[in-house]
Amino acid sequence: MTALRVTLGVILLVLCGWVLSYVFAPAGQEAAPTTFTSSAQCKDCHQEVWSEWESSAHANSWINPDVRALSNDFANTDCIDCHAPRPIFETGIGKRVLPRSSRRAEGVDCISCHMLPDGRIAGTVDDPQAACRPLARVELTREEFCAACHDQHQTVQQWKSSRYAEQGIGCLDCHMPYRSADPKSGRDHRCLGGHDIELVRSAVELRGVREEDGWTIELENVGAGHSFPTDERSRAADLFWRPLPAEGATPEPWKHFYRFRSPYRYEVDIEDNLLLVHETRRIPLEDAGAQGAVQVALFYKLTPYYEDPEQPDPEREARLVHQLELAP
Amino acid sequence: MKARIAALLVTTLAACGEPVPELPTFDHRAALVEGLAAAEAAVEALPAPVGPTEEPDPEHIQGLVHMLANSSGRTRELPLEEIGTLGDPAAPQLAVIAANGEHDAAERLAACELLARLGTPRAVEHLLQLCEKSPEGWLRAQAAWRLGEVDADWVVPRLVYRLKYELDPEAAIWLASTLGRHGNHSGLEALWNLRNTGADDNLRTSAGERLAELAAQVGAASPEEHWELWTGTDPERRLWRGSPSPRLQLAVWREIEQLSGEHFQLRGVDDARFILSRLGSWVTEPLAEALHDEDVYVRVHVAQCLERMGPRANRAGPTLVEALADPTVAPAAAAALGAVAYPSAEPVLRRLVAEPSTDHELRVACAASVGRIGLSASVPALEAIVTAEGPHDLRQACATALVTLGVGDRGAAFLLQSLRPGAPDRNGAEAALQRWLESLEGDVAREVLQEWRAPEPAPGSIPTVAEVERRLEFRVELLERRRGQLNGL
Repeated sequence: MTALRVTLGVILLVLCGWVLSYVFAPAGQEAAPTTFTSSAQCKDCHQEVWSEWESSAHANSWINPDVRALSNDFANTDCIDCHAPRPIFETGIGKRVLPRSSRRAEGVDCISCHMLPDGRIAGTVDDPQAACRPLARVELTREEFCAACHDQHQTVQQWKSSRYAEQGIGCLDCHMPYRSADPKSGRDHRCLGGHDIELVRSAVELRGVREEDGWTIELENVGAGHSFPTDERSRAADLFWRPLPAEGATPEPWKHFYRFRSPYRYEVDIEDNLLLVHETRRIPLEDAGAQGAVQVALFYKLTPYYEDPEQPDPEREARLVHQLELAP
Repeated sequence: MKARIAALLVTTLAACGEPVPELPTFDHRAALVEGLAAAEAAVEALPAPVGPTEEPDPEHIQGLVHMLANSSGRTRELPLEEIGTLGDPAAPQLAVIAANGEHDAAERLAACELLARLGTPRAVEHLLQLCEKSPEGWLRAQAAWRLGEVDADWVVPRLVYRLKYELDPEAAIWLASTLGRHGNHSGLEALWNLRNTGADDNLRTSAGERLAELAAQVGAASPEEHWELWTGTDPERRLWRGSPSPRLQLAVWREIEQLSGEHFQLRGVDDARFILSRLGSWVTEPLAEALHDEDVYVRVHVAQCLERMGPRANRAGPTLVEALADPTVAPAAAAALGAVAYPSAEPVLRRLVAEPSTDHELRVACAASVGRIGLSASVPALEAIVTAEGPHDLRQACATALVTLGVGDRGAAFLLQSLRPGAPDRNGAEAALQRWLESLEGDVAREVLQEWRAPEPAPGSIPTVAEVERRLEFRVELLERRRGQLNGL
């Protein structure tokens, strides 16, 4: 009986000690360091951000079928640097990225942008007690941060030459706006860009002008803070036309007449003719059959090539941005 | 719970096993600056071209070009001999004639031939520029051919680069041929492709003839044997070139300089990685030296170059093992060790992958590499990680390595789990499972493989996200249905 009492007493003492140490632990004690091996570790605490990111082009940068096809399933290892980068804070703001070996399928993930070299997490507040021990780092909002990857094709340089740069309107204002326009709600981590057709639509205006010798089509870069499409060589925007079909009649196939694109390095015979920031390009519709009433459409393509270049099918292979009906 | 116990077992086993040896520190030094300076000094010490220094009369040059273009037999030798007496100052005028699209084509070709006969560094530079920048494919082909006649191995890096982007098949054939003449065999792939898929008989025949010539030149019994020597370790050093000229060594260090963090654009890095990984096994030595550079970008990209060289970079094995001690380059070094066919690295890679305290990124790289090295000694460590709880990508890397080692059945169940919705790398699991199925023998395996391949997209078409999803679902369902009929599932 005595032994039982002693045992219970010891257990009670240990429990009391634990409770006291919990209650009287010094305030502000730093959380134990966490080793991050996957961005999935962020999910439990940051559900909303995680959900946004999970559907983003960043999250899919390794697994997107277009990327896998264009990189030959990453047999072209040059693509890995930007599609599975080491943490930006590790390689340095304003420096180019380096490729990583692990968790490549997570693409451009939480760790890529938020992991600091000491294992803590860059965020908007200092909170040493939180599990990831975040530190407020303003660099996250700077254009140089995005530039590590996105200036490889001059997008940030294009922005620097724009009025937006003068006005202080940066990458995040369009691509990571505050949720519900409220800074307290944090930023939208879907990082919308070329994959979001509404954002693409807001970038350009398509107009038709009747001139003596036929139609001239105008495309104006009204909303993109960089070229349209920006110098992603895999992207293209195409203008098509067809006669305006009579009511109820089956429309004729679309006919291609102009392309905006920056070529791959080996495509030496293709002109680099992206629509520059703030530019309005006037493109005569010179086809002899296009003198009368026509439909003109701008299509956006996430991969550069049509399956049959002679007879492209933009409605199936690309996304409609704007369409006009023009009658003399 | 089971997984936790398994994890505990792995940790305990690792603790009981041979400890990870203390790797010596990997020193950093100004390898790039010093290599570049030494190469520049060696080039500066070269004697200047001897001969006349006065610019020749343009009419004289034009006359020689005209004579060469319009003569045959022994009379052709006269202008070719005479150009030597005019010497290096004749080079710019010849280059102008060769580049001038208003000149007669035969005279432009003759100007290229005279430039090659001059053979001075300036003349060779003009030929290189014609090869790189001429809008006419036939002129690029001619310049490439003539560059094979000059004693100037330093043209190799630029020709390797040119061949990467060359679209004219005739020019590509002569680029590859000239590379071979200068002891570089990276054009073999282009020749093989043109021999097999060239647009017409002439191209296919020409590519085949060049392949045969190059094989004979290195003493290979056939183009196939030549290809094996180029892509393998070449233990007898049959493709080993003599000492590269000072100019070529300088060109190599300038390519290494392109890897540095001083440059922001990846475009130059991509090209430098491409060139350096195709120069041949002799370039292993400067690359191994540059692996010690102070600039982390140089170190990482040099390791990548060695990885892309594959078995040709076999002699970098010891330096790569040392580099495992440098956390900034260790994952890239580990990946390179898997590619360069250096089995001596297997024990240390295996211990690093098994040791839970190893940096995660390095563990993943080591897992893939022990698979590539291909020693059965790696199997137990990999299998233990696959079956224990741990980071998914590490377990998947180990399961994939087991497939590479020919014992895919030991990781197949985990790969099937990784193919299911919600798993992080379903594409990777799919590729590994396909390789596993392809390695299996027997009627059932063949049936499964046939069914597995059914939803593959048509060549040249890119599947949509929905199509990929349907394909993955179909393949999960297929393997679930065949569970029990294939060992490992």
